[in-house]
Amino acid sequence: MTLEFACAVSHAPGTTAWTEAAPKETVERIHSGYRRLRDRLAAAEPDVVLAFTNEHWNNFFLDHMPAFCIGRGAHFAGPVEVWLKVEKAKVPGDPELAQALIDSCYAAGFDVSYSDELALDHGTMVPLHFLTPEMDVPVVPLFTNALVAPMPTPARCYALGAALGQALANSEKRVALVATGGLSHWPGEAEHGRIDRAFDDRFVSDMVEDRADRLRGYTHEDIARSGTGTHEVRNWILLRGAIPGWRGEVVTYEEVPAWATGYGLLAFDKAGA
Amino acid sequence: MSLYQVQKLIRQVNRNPADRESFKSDRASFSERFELTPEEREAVIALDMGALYAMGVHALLLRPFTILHGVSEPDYLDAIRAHRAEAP
Repeated sequence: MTLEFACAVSHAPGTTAWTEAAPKETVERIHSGYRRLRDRLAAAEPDVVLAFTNEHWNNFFLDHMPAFCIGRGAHFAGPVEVWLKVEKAKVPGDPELAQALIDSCYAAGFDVSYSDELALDHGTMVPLHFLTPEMDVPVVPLFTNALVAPMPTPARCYALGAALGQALANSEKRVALVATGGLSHWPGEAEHGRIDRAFDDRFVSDMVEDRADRLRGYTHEDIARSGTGTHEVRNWILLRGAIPGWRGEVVTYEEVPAWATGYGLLAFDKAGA
Repeated sequence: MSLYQVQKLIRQVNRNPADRESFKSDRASFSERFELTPEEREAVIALDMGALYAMGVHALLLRPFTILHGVSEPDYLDAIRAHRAEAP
């Protein structure tokens, strides 16, 4: 098994763009959580990060909306947002691993889209800014549609994650998995700033306790009731599918109305598997 | 499919610096490049956030568009919430 590290993190743009809007203690707890994850990631000495992520109209639009898209580029430019307060970077890709994963997906019955040119927005750049701040670890992004219905079902996300986990078991590379997005939030909507703590607690518990049946069983409506941005938890479900049996741990959970999100940082340890 | 065209305009302004400059220098003529209804055209030219939100422009297109026009978060939220409050 060459999966060496796994975490799930929120990616609210306020984390970097309007940090000071949140209470100082909240910011410190989130930064401290990210530091713990960064140290664990570095200790795992990954060759590559496979990011289960999503984007926000910066690559895909209603002229063509893929359910899943794997980035096969030699590098990815980001962030797209000039206001994000994350330095512009050319993040290296790993076309060889991306191709191997695409082939594995097709063989397993998942006809994913693929692209040799993708831009990274806050959805990927905020986590990388904290986890691999030098932007020196190659990244293969897997984008899941979390923007407009229809979106892939949680069950389908879990199954794709499982297929990727099996494919990576045969890889010679040391791979770190990073899922981004969530938890409950309504970014830019009239409900902006609302947080559904009950959903967050339930979902985080399902992730930590590895309740595959419950994760697969979430419906689009279950998630939609807890926020338009909450659909991003599909990325977390993909992650869980890839690492059955890994022990989960809540590193940080904070309600952050100033960044309009329930903010979660979860770590997973394969020692439990 | 008209909502498609107004969202396409907003997306291009958000992600393409040249389009952003064209739009900022002359909103009306930039809008001519898209097949907009009169209501959409009016809302875009007036930067009427409440009207654009009410017609269904996706929040993650609309909020970045308004950030680029210097609209603060409280002003943005007031505008879209006021429009909702007015709805029947």
